[in-house]
Amino acid sequence: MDISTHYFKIAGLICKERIQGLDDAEQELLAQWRKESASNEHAYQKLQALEVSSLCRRYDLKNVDKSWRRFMRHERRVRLWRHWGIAAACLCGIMWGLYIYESSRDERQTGFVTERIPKTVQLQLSTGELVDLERGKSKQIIDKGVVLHVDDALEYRSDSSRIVKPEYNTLIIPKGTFFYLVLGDGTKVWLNADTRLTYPVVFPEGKREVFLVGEAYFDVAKDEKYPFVVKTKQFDVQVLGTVFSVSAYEEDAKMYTALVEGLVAVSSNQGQRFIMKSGEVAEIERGNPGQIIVSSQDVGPYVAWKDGQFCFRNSSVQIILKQIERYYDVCFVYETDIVDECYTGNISRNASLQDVLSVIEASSCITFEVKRDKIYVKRKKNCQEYNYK
Amino acid sequence: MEVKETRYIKFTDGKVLSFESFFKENFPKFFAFAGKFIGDESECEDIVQEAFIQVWTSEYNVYGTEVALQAFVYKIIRNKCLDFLKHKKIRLRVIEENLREKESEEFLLQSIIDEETRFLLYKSINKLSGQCQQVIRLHLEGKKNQEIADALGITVATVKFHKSSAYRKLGDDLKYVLLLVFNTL
Repeated sequence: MDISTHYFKIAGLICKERIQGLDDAEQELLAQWRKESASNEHAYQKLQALEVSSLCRRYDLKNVDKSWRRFMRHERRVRLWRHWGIAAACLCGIMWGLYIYESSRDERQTGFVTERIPKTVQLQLSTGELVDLERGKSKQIIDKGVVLHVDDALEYRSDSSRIVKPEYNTLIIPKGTFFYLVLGDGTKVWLNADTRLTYPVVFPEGKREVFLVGEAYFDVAKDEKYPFVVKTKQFDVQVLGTVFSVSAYEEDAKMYTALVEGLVAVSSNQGQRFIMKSGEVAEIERGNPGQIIVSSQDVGPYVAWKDGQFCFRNSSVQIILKQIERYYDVCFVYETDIVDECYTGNISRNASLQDVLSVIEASSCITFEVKRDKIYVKRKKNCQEYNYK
Repeated sequence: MEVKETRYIKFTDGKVLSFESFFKENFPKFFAFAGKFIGDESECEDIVQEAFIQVWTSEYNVYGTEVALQAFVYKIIRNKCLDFLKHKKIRLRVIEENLREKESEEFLLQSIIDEETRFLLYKSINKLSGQCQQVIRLHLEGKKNQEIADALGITVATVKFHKSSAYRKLGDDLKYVLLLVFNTL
């Protein structure tokens, strides 16, 4: 007998016990099942804690008649397809496939958010050629005689005896995904969504320089002779051997460097220069690139993305939603001016977009509405706003 | 042109059910069950629809018992949910442990018990009406007879009366469920 039907019996017993109680034989059966394993006992306790009012919310939600009508539409298509002859079946199959796709697309657009398939990461070789890096697929790419290995990440095996004029590669990370690579000197780099990194295939004598637009986390291989420099449009970060994160998105109003470990020097392209110690964050405002503000802070929020978390400390709504836009590749449209409420919290990036939006809706005065491929941000009616600290 | 085909499901215990009533009766339950695996509600709806289609289109339309058919559908739904999660994992790098727990046979069985019990309770409560339902609701919340009496402004004797009439009404249904599953042993 199928073991799952045994479990229907247990469900019946638990239900009866709650409503009116069990007789001796039934009591014995239930006790036996509970003793069988810790997870059985756990399931039982969970049901004891069940609140009756939650049941209505759980089941009344579904408009069953609507679902049934939708089912009948599918079913009719299935039946029609069967009636046509096999010769016609191939042609019908294609047309039917298109029809299902079209109508299921319409259904998807009402109500809930779907997550897009991320575009692939691309590598631009020194010749300008663009190569798609598909996750999980091993590839060997040869660029000017240097062989690159691609598995789940990109690793440059440099032949250090070759002194070559620096040839540059660019990694292009689209929205909705992120990437990890190891440079020719052993430096590890994690690249966040919507980021480009340009770097030489082999580091030339004298310096290690890379160019960043977007956000990246560097674990720089130690080399005192040749400092490692991350150049962005507005500022540079020079390091000796250390772990830090640089955020330099073009559309963002503020750019950051957060130092986890070691020592770096941040210099703006207007001549200002600062030495940072670990546990410090340097902030540069796009409108005022000459000024660098260094402060001692919890660097956690700045580097949490690398470990798969959204982490906010007193962040405004716009900043939070911007991160979500990049990670899930969606587009928010603000229907109301959101007052500067600030939020603090952590959300795992494993969560689906729907989950993340639910969390935000539950803990703020904001509500979301999906229309076509945009998400509209609205204010909840009758909502008291206050700052979360 | 609309051709309405009414399909029936025959069970080995002689019970016959129209597909429509099987669908409408069980859809909310299966939908909530899918929700244990996947957060995206529209995806859950799609998966449950597909599971019903699979049952409808299978040539086999005589099942053991209604309970066996339900167990079968639970499994279909769980497999589709896991496929979806695995596909998502490749796209968004979901952490392994999360998926591994949901893949286990244990998770499936606990989830079925959990869902079935909730649904049974829900149906039972909805069968009752008026004050009788209110009494049972409060009873399920753990309130004692005196507390229920005070909350509803009635006497303890009335509370007891409502309870016994509820047991009579529900008792037969619950007995049927238990009898049904006992017989499948």
